[in-house]
Amino acid sequence: METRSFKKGLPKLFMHLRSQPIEFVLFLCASFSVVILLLMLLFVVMEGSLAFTRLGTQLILGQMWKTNSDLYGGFPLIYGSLMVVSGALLISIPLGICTSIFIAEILPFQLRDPIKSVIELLASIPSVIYGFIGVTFLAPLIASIFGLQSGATAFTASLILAIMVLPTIVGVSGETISAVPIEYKEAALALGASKWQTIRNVILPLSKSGMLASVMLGFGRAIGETVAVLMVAGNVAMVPTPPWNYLAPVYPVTAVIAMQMGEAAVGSLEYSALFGLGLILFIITFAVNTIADVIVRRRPVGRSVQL
Amino acid sequence: MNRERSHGSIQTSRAIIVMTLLFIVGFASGYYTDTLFSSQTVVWKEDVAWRTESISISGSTTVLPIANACAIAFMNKYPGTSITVTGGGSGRGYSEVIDGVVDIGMASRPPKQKEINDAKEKGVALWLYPIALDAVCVVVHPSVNKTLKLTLQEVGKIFAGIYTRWSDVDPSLPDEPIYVVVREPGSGTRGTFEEYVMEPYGYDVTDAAHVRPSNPAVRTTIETTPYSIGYVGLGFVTSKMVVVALAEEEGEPYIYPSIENIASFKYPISRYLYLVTSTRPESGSLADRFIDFILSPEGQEIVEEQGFLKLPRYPAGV
Repeated sequence: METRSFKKGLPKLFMHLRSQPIEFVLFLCASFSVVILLLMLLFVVMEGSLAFTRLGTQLILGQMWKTNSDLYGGFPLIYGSLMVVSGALLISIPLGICTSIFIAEILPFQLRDPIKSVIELLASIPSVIYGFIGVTFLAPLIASIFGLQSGATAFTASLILAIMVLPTIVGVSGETISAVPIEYKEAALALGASKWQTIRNVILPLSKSGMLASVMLGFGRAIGETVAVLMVAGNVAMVPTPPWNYLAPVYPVTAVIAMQMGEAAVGSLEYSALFGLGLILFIITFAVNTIADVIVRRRPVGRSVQL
Repeated sequence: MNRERSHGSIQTSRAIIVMTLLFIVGFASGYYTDTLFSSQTVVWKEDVAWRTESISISGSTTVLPIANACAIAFMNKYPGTSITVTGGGSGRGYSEVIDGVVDIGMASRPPKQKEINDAKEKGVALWLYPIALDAVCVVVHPSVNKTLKLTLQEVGKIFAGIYTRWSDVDPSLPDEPIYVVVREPGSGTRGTFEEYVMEPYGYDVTDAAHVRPSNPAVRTTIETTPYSIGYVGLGFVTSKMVVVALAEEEGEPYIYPSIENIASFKYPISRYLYLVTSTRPESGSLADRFIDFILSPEGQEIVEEQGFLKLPRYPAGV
């Protein structure tokens, strides 16, 4: 379906561009971001190609990341990234979705906007500030609560990330909740359903896909976060023992790239391996964002609802 | 419907054309005044061209505080000059000097063979200017011991993960796991440390080491983590950590990184800090004057203020 609309749309576009010079200027502006995206992808693939040809699957599955001995096994790093992000989502999904339901359905109308903007404000705090608070406040706190030597652990990073992705999750799932047609709610209430029954049986099923999308967007935001994670994750390139031990330090991919890129000799295997890791990260976020996009597009409003 | 749209687009297109024109006029006038002013200064007097020059410096985070303080002092002394200093590590210092991205690089180690080859390929010669003396200090959290003495090999075994508990090193030390803190690969401090402590014994840093991106980050980690050990440049030692006395080998004297011991190279991990340029800077240029400034008594004073050691007036040992 997409390709057909492309076939129809493109000739239309070129007709416009020929007849209207100003629209051509607008076209150039609009294509800028697309071109940049393609160029960046090309650049990352080119720089990372050496690592993929020399290391192959070792870059993804290898257990040892040792620059000194030219060993670039990315598994502990990718594992660290996924561990931190899933921890963050485990915390922020219930928190975010409950918040958005509360804001959209329970909070009095007059208070909605102020509370919403307070949560959005969280997104405007620079990530280095989160990292700073994590290092100076959260890490010592976690160390003393759990009796650890150091509070720089996967759990600390997850906690910081959870707060950072909260605005994304609250914002997007809030949108989908308010997109539920008012008639559905009114119908449910008129049938004698309580507020909670309405939320559970009408609003939640209808906004399920939007909430899933918000989680995916949050995932994309979390896995790309660098500075805050670098400051609190502890940075040990090993899969924790046991693998689900959240109180152990991890070394997420973004932290490794930020840490080593400045020092890597251009064109070396190390340099290329870092780009390779970047490409893997890129593919992961791209896949997740695409899935989110597809889900958002088929929003099932208009389907019958069972009370 | 079409007519309405085209009417709307004429209005928007007018607005856009006006805005574009404004931009063009703005840029053009900026460019014009810029050339006007700069040509004035050039005509004014040939000799003072450096007074309006700007240079950029990048590289080792160890050298960064020296370069930064000197740049500020220099710019205060000669208003109009502009010196930008950024970190990134010795590796970045060398690569950006070779690529011509910056005018001066900072390094806490001599260039590696790969960097020398790189420079040769690009047809530039690296010029190294020693500007200060530094020592890599092995530091531990006070919880380990208030006075710790180790041989280089013992330190190596700790960082290689052969000793994992402090009681493995010496039974009198606490029976607690060792928290090893290292710098990122490519760091000059790490390079120097490994050259003296790890490589002679064929050790490699343990997987369980905690990586930190800068001297201050290592400092914070050591200060706040019980039973931790790490290494920092001399200028980053604080009273909240214990400096370890080192001996080259068992039986040799244990030596603290004091000023005399570093200047005489008795302390095992002493090193020079460098500024690097890709060609010899033209005499009288800003880069040339800045390097001269750091080497002057005034600049060396700043080196000392930042916690490093002045260059000995004569080569050590003479």
